[in-house]
Amino acid sequence: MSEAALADQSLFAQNRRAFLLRKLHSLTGVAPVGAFMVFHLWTNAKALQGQEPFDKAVAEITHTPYLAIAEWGLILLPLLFHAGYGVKLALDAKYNVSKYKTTRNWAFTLQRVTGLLAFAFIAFHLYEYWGKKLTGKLAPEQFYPALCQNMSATVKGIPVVGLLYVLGIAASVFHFANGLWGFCFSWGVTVSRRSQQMAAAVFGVLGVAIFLLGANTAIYFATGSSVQDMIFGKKGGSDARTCVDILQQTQKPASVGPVID
Amino acid sequence: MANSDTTKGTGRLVHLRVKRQDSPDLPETRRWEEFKVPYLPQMNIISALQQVQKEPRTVDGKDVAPVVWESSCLEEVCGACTMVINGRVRQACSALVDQIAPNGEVIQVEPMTKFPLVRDLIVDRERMFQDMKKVKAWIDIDGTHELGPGPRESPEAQQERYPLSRCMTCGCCVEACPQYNDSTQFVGPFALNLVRLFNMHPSGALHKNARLETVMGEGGVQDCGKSQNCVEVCPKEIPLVDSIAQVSRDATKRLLFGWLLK
Repeated sequence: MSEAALADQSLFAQNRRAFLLRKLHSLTGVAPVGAFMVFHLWTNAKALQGQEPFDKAVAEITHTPYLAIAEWGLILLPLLFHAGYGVKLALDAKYNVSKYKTTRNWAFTLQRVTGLLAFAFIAFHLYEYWGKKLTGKLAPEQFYPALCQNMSATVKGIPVVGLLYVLGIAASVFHFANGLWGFCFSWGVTVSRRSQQMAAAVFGVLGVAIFLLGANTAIYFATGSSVQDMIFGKKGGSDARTCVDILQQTQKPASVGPVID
Repeated sequence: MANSDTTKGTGRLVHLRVKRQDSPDLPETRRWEEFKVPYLPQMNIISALQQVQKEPRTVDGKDVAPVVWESSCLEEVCGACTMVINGRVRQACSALVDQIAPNGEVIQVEPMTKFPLVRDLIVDRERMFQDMKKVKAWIDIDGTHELGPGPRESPEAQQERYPLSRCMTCGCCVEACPQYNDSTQFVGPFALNLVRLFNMHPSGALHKNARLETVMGEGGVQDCGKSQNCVEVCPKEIPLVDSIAQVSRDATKRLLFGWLLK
């Protein structure tokens, strides 16, 4: 056995390429991509308080120093790598959940399906807002009215874009929560079956919480009221401009696509 | 079982549906053939196939070449007769007709799908042998000189290692594994279990790092997709997922600290 040759591997040895790529894929999914998603959904929730708090949060981010470096280096490039390599992984698998119907085999299959769905959704979402901001078609202050218009637009009474966002968020959050479980397994954090079951419960609860956080904002933009408004009734007294105000101001009926003033 | 069933000529029939192919280079001969053979007491899939062999005639009355398969021990310790029965991979010898088709249901028998087909139900499991070579699934003793007695092993370690050693390389785990296919070079759950087994062995542990390096290469432990099908189908009830998780932890440790602690 060429013991010496194999035991003296450097960190980036040539034959470790596949291993390192897979580890990088796993790591980028948790941070920065996953962590950013949680931060993003949290920031979005400020929209529930009306346009002013939302715009303030947007402005704060827009005026972050080194924003371009952070956007590209910490979000877009890791996301692109994670998505691109993820497509390869999704295509490599030979799915057999119709034969072996266990919970984990379903999770394995859904992890890849939701990954592809999240990829498509995020591409659409980036085109709609980040791309239009970059090309100067949409100023940050226009985000809020654009979101109200866009997501409340209905086809035959169904807020299609809003629904698309709820589904996109569901796919992304499942992918993230189950990905955290997978991260703990493949990095050797949860070795025993019992610890894996506990991790599944913890990340399951966490996933539901993050989904509710994200979906609530989408529901608010689509219907004008958040889930808590629907249950407990709307609280008056806030001066901030809300989606309802914006939709009332616009004379023409809401149409698909953001309205650019 | 009722007594009438245990005698020949009761009319009870076993209905088999077998996926066949004449040779590896003749995929156009791939077909399903159905056979009905007389029931025998304690019948398993092997003895049902033996009945087909005795009189290879399909239910349509067509005389065909006998179905071929591999088998050896007939007691679920050699793994030779592994095939896909009613959609689930298992050994044909331990697949009892009374259990899988108590009311004369059709029993579907197919070859494993992850290996090159030889003929009918026979596949070539060479890849598994290559996987074992890849991960150095052995203990180095060259035998050129006396090494003396090896290190002693505690009963606890022995208890932990014994279940891991029950692997018979039957191929169930890799057949059910979605990651073990032509698109990947994944060594498979059984090979990762062997890495754990030999790394726990007092003499085998001397080459622990060399074995870990092999599973940090192309097709290594990173290719596990965590579907955990392997442990569900393993006929020897080997804790394959525990083994993969343990090897993952060792690989992570080696990745993070191996180059620092030199």
